[in-house]
Amino acid sequence: MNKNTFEYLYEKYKKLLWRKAYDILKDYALAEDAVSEAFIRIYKHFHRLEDADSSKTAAFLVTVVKNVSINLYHKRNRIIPTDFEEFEQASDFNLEEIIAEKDETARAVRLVDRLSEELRAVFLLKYANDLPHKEIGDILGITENNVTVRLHRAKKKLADMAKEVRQA
Amino acid sequence: MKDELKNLRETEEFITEFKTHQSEQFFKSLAAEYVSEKGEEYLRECEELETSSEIDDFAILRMDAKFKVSLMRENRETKRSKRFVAWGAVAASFVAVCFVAAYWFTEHGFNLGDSSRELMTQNAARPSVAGAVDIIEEADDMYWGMSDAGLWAEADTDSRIMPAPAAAAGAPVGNELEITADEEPAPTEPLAQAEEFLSRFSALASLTAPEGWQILSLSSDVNSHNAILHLESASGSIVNVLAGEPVYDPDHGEFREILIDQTPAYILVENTHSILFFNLHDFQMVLSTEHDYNELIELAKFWM
Repeated sequence: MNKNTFEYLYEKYKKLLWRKAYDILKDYALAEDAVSEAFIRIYKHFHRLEDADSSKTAAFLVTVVKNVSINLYHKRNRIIPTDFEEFEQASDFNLEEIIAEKDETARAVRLVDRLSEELRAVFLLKYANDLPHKEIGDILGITENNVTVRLHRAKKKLADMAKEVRQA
Repeated sequence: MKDELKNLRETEEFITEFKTHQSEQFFKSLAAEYVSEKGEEYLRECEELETSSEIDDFAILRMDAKFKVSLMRENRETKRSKRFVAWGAVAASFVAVCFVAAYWFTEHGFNLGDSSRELMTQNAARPSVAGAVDIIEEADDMYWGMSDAGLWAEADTDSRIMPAPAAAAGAPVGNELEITADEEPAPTEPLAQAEEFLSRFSALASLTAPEGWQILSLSSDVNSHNAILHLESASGSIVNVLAGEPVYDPDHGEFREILIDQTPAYILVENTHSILFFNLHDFQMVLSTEHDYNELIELAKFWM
């Protein structure tokens, strides 16, 4: 990707990312800051992106901006995030629905959706984008150690849910 | 002893049970399916937003301006750091050339005379904290380092020195800085932080490694002021021993208490690596490895 492609990336996704940031922060100025910060982080790693129009790239960008927004949210509220469950999905885990799902893709999406945003980000950057732990830490603004911990928790949670589905 | 074995057996069973449910391929396919499905959804949303008036254009314009300024600043900083590295290399080369030239002249060229030579020898031998210090960290108007005289910290124009611990004195001191953006340290006196760091660093540095283990380096985390000792076993397991705030919370529920030589310890069994958490010299220690879990037990036993 060259510089022009990065500009294209920014122009194409800026509105989407702004909306995702605003959904979390509910503040115009903070949402603008979040998108700006997210694109700076992406700029440093954008050689990793293969196709600006792919669904994988779109998912990557949304993952980054959501995490930057969550960090800003914590800073604004002066909360040190010790509990990863804070951004857990609001809806309860409905095992019946997942079992009843005939489509494997839909089932996988539902399982991954059950992860908190912070765990999901690390999980996706590792397994969908094949990023090393150090780069994941750079992008999300956390330590490598923290990446390992979150990845473990994400995998454990997914494994537990998959196990429950299999047993049911 | 019976309890100890029972606890260890339970932990092993837990590992085996857990490993049967973890598969890298499984996680990869989950992630790929999620990204493909959600990504398509985002792309559709992106197209819809292009034509919708839902987002305030003024907000987008402001964001464009912010982003351009941030990008310019980022590029300027990148250029500055590259320039700094380049000038650093030039300066280092110059110093190296001067040093070689001075050495050559003292040996072959000029006759410096006894008094000058004596003065040079005295200066070279004089322990100097400021001169010989190897800066480990520099943050919050505080400097931590290691010199021939020992561990050294300075904050608010005051300084503290601790004698160099003998056991790990030979261990190289790492200079990696880990910035934890979402874990802001509680504001405390810089000097108190420096002293706390020194005592953690000193406690770690005084540890000796058991047979079969090698101390790789000592480093620190700039935000949490933790000290970290990196060890490697003969089989290649890398273990990080951390003194300071624990990374893991024993109340989190993922820990299991076991007894090692009648001392309670907490074990967290992870899918690709094991973490052992226990109390040592009044410090919370975390050990992690991506290799052999039993090696951790042996290491813990050695220190406890």
